[in-house]
Amino acid sequence: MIPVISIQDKTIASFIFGQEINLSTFQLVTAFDQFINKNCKRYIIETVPSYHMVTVFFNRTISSDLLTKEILAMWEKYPVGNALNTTKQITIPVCYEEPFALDLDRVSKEINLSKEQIIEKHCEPLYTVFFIGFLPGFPYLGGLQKDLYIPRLEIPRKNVQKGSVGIGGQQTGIYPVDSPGGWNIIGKTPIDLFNVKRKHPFLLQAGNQLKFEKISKEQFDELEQQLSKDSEYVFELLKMN
Amino acid sequence: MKQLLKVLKKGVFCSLQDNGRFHFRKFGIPTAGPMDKLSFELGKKILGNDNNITALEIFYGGMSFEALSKHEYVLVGADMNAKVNEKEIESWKTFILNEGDILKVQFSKQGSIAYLIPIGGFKEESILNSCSTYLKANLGCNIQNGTILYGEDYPIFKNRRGLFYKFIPQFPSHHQVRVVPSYQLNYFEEKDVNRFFSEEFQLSSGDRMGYFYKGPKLKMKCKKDILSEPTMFGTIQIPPEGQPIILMADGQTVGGYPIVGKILDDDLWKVAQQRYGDRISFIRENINE
Repeated sequence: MIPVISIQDKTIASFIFGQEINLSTFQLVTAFDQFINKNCKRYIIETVPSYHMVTVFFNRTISSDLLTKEILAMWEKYPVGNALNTTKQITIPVCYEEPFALDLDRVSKEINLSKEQIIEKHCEPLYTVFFIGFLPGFPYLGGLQKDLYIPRLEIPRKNVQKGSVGIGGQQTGIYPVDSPGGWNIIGKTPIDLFNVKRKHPFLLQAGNQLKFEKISKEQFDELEQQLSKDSEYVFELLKMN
Repeated sequence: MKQLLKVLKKGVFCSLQDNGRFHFRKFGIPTAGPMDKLSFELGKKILGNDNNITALEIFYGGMSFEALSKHEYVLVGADMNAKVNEKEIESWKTFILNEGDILKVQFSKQGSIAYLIPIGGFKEESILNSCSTYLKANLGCNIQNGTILYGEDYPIFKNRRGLFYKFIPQFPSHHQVRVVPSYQLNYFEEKDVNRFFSEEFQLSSGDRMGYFYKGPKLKMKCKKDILSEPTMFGTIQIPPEGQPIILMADGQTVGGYPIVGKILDDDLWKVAQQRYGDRISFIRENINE
């Protein structure tokens, strides 16, 4: 599919593949992002993909020849099919117990599900990382079950701890750093999504698939301790080597 | 490595900035880097240095330093009436600090940002390929009273160096900047769009993440869900109350508010240097045609 091109500056252009959140649009976004980073490397500094578009920061002034004759001509021949199948699947351990599940009791009453049901429904889907933004390493996840849709807090918390797992609106996510935030907190992971001391500072990238796995408070404490001794251990733990 | 300066008073806000942090936007890390790239680059030129060096970006002023060794510097950007041992010094011209000298960077009358650059730049640990400070991700140095700034040994110049007056950027209280319209522009009421491009807006508050302006409100034609999309330094967002926010160097990489357009990179220094109460006019730039 030929994207709509929106020029934003002399060296910045966005390639738009639709106006909705859905997997077929996202498949094109992921494929185009892979394509331009691989086949047009010499023209670009970096790209940012989102639900429906890829914004490309070029290292030179954009010309219409570069866009149409070079990039779009090559893109037409690019095999889109497997873009999402090649990505990683990652399981994030989450403790849904006290003292981490700050809002679980209230959420349970509000959406009329037991705490166990909420945890089960949160751990069931295979989520898609649509893109990363808002905070360093923060994943925008698609795939939350409808039963878990719940409005965000009316008054956001001044500080949500790093690792907190929340639900809000139609989304679920993990806070990579301490931050103000308005999501309903239902658990916490001992894993750092973002840690500059690691060889690979960012755990997730757009296109990854993600599952949550319930762990106990004891397991949480044990993992937290191991990770504080050796931050690289996370890759072994998540079988990401 | 040598100790250059001790921060005695950290002032309103300051941060170390190099060219910026690239290749990590897709992980949610903005490029950071200098807000007023023009002054930053001219400052490097005065020092005869085109490399990626680190400067101290000073927001609004109110700082003082004690020199811990002899070194040559330049102050560029907004003129903050700097003094060395209570004697005034000129901006845009190199000066020497001797051990024990006190440098005071006071407040500007025009423009809001100054850069203090030592020959060779400040030395700071590079994280994710950059020395630029981005405090939201705890990247770089959070400067406090007492912080020591490091540099490298460099010989001082034979003569003081500066910039011809006609090349020095001016920071009047009103600027025109060119805006490339977003494809979302037709989501707004046409009469509001016309006012946006013909009337003035006034800076009400701001920091390295975003500048907030007040002026005629922009309303959407109908309530429309906007998908979050990549944003950058210069993106103009309109939150529900209708007043523009210009995303600055530390602005988020993705945003969900409707977008009017993007200010051309070449004009961003004019925005960066605005002071609270300064006015801005947006000129439509049709780059897409």
